[in-house]
Order: sequence, then structure tokens, then C-alpha cells
Amino acid sequence: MSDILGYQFMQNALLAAILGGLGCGIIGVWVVLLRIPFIGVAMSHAAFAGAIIALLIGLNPLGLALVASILAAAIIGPLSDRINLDTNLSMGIVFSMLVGIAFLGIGLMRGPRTEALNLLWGNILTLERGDLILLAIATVVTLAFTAVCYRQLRAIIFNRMIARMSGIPDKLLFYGTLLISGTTITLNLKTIGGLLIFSLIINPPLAAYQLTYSLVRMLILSALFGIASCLVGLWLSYVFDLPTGAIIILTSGIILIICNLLSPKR
Amino acid sequence: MNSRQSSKKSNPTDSVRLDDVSLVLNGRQILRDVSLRIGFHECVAIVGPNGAGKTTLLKVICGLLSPSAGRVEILGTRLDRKSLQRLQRQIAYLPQDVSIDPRTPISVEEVIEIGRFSQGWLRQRLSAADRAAIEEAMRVTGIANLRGRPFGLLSAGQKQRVGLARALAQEASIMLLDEPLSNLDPEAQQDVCAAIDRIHASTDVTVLLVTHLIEKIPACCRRTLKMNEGTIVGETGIQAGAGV
Repeated sequence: MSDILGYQFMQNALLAAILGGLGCGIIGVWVVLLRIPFIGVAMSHAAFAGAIIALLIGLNPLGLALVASILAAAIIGPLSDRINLDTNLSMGIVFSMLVGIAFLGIGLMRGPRTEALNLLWGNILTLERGDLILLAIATVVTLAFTAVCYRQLRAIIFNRMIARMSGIPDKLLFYGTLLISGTTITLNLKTIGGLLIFSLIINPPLAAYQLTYSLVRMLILSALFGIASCLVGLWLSYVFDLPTGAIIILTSGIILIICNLLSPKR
Repeated sequence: MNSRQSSKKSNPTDSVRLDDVSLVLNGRQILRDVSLRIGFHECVAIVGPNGAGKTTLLKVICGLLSPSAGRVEILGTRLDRKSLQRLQRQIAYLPQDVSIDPRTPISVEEVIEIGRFSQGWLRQRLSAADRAAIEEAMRVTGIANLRGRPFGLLSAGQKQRVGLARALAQEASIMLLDEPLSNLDPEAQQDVCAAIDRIHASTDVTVLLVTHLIEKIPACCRRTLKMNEGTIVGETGIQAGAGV
């Protein structure tokens, strides 16, 4: 293993695992506690569909992926705010349409579909310096957002109406959370893949949620679980020659199961 | 009884003033020509059967709902889009149901801190004044021993007292309590009533309390307004500044 660590692609993969696990773990706490997982899933599928369409028409996939995920949040977010949206119905419509668009795009591609399949399953071993810089920026923004708005977000989690009446701009912070989620999702498409990325946003905070009543500890644990999932998944995929994205998500799922079994909240 | 004899000119001793307020929601008349005046440091109970419009009335007063007709004044200022944010910080509202997942990671003290955002929402740290207000709120409501407990694990009565503490920590001029005694056992109802009495006695806050439990009104409530079918149909007790 130590030999492989000398290679640039593996060093990039390790750094991406840490940054991706950290960013997803932190923003995932707010997605879970704000009870917006269905919006997050829609955003990840929208990002994936946007990236595929970009590849189809010869554009940079990240740009259109980001636009698509933010568009999904911009449509579903206010809708869920204003009406008592049936989430099962909305999820059914959004997922089927977005996944359909994505796979239609893949089907229409002529020639090799390697890049498209990398976006589907993720390929952490193909990340370049530019990808890492973007990932680092997104992670820093996520951490800064959490640090600056921690108390306000905590109030919104308790009760949005009470937070609003206390003077907190709940809508601004809610859509800010969606925007950062969309950015995190988009920049981790290459790491984990469009179909799996959302599990990395949900599983680590859910695992942390089982273990503590402290929000600070939940954030720390979620970040650690996110990083651990990515590093362990990377190592296992190297040792057993398995798809990295899938192993990362399976690792995060196993951590969640263990935490649920050990939960003092049961 | 609608106080249609009320003067058109604002009386600066009024905390809350409603003039002929009506509200239609989804084609249904919820409030009908409601006029009332609540003086500074009054404690008034609004009673009535379920569906009388009591909760809706509170929501109109705190700006969560806009009336279809009529005028709402808070502390002598008309409640409208321009004044809404500023006036809402002067109102501490306890909704009827603040249910959260029992596993939610927020403690009692962190819930009470929310009240202090009325002093400025951007602040990152609690000041000495914030901490003093929070401590005093916990002392008055008798929940200092619960400060580190997860809010979701408290009993219903304890949660109501935490809500009162949060409202008290806000240092608002007006407190609106929506069914604070519902779903509580008799002992918890007594505790909450006692906490409301202590709050009213130790501060100059105006309290407006909605309940369908006529026999359980806190002692500090010297006036009771009766509501039915969206309008005020009766009043008992002494109005502060009576004779105006």
C-alpha cells in the first residue's frame, strides 16, 4: 500500500476522500435536521442529469450540473415551503424524470461513454488538481457557512416560525443551505457518482444522529464518519479491486447500521 | 361584545389594538369584525370553544396572518409589511404545539437562547446581558435544573415552561400564549400557571393567553374575552385604563 501512495493519482484520491467526506458530512447534518432529504436527492439527480446533458452537447459537465442542481432546489424548495407538498409524489415525478433524462443522454452519446459512466459511478482515481482545488474551496465555504450561521441554523431546526419571529431570516438561510448542498453534490460527482452521492450526504449525519444529543458533537462525528467512509472505501476498493464509489457508500451504510445498533436513543 | 365605541385615535396606553378585523381563509370567514384593546401590562385571557378563531386571532396579532379587513396596532404602530419585522421582535409567541423529534440535538438552554436573537440575529456570541436574561428566565420559570437536558426528552409541562422561558428571555413587550395548558396533567397546569403569574409579576410584559380551559386561567388574568364563531361575544373583568 505504501508504494501506491507515492503516485500522484492516489494522493489526489486521498485528498479528495478527506475533503469530500468532510464537506458531505457537514452539509449533510443541516440537510437531515432541516428535514429536506427529498430536496437533496432531487438535487443530486438533477446534477447528474445536467452533467450528462453537458457532455452530450460538448460543455463542461460541472457547470451545467451545478446549474441543474440549483434549479432543482429553486423549484422544489419554494414549493415545499408554500404548500404541503406530498413528498412521495414529488420524489416520484422528479426522480423518474431526471434519471430518465440522464440515461437518455447516455444512450444518445456516440463513441466512448467513459466520462459519462465516471459521473454515474464516480471515479475518485481520475481526479486532477483543478478538481481538488474546487473541492477544497467548496469544503471551506461549507465550514465557514456552518461556523458563521451555526446558532441561527440551530434555531431554524428547532422551529422555523419561532426563528423567523425572533428576527432570523429563515428563508435566506434555508436557501443558502440548499445552494451549498447543490455545490457540494456537484463537486463530488466525480468522487462518488451521481447515483450514490446523496448517500454520502445522508448516511454520516444519520449515523452521528444516533449517538449524540449535542449538535456540535453531531457535526464532528458526521465529518469523521464521512471521512472514514471515504478513506476506508478507497482502501478496500484498492485491496479488492472493486468500484470505489460503491464501496464508499457501503462503508457509510455499515457505519450507520453499527451506530443505530449502539444508539443510546433507541 | 365588539368595542365599536373605541376612538379612532390611537391610545398610547394600548399594547394591542384591533379595529374591526376580519379574516377570510380559503373562502371561510374565520374572524369577523373583531375589535379589542389590550393595555400595557394587562393579562387577558381569550376563551372559547374549539374552532372559535382564538389561535387565528393570535396569529393575526403577531403578524403571521394578514387580516382581510381592519387594522392591527402593536404598541401604537400599525402592523403592516414595513413595520412587521420590527414589531415581531416585540412579540414573544408561544404556538400551541412545538413538537420536535425527541432525538433532535438541542438542549433546553439552547432553546431559550433563541429568544435573544431579537436583540440582533447576526451575533455570533452571547453577551453578558444575554446570559443574564437567560438565567433570569430560567429562574422565574423554575427550569434552571433542566438547562442541559435535550429539549425533546422533556415532559409536556416542562416544554411549556421552556417556551415561557424563551419568551421571557426575548424581553418582548407582548407575550402571546396559545393554549399553554392543553395536554398537561393538573400538576403541570398548576406549574405553568404559576410560571405565567411570576412572569407577569416580575416584568412589565403584556400577556394575551388563549385557552379553552375556562377554569384554569392564571390568577394574573384580570380580564377574559369570550370568542365564538370568529368574533368576541362577551367580556368579564376589569379593563386597564377603563373609562377611556
